[in-house]
Amino acid sequence: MIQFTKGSADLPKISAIEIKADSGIGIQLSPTSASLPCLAESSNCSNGYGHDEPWRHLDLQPAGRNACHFWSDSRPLTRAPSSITTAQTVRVTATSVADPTQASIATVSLVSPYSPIFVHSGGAAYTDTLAQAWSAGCPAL
Amino acid sequence: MLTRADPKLYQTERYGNFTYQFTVPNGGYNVTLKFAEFYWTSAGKRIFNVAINGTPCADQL
Repeated sequence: MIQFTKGSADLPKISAIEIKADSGIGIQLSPTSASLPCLAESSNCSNGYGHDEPWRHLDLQPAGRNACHFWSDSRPLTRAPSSITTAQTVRVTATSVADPTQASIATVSLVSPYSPIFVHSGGAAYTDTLAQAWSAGCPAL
Repeated sequence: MLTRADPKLYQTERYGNFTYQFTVPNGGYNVTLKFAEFYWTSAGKRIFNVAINGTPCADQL
């Protein structure tokens, strides 16, 4: 029974009611947010329930391995891009193939890979592991 | 409404305090309520409540 009653202003009104049997399928992305360095792949992205569906274990690896599609907005997202010019955030949506009304969204922040920078002490000259010699000096005044 | 796939649905309405009762097999169901406001033109002019099987699902909607 669906009951409509007056609230604090005017009377209710409705145009239509749609009732659909619940498919019993749900989808959930976990984690809901993550940071990925470029070239990284994320795994263990989703858990489904309600069926012994093949998308119980999802990852962001190439499509075809999973019966679930990933979108980064409108573009297929299989892995973080190999290079990005600026850090950015993309939205990943996992949608059940069996019940396309069931979807879950996660936010993934893409960050550039970085290499640690070391400052060596002990003199004005330094030879790195590639046998490249580095030197430091003061500019002529 | 022009952007809806089924605009004709929203050209009619039921108005007042009312109840619908549907007979369905036992199980879980998703209920979608479809509204259109084409009388009032500002927010807060129509506020009402919806309950399903006695359980409020929208208070002061």
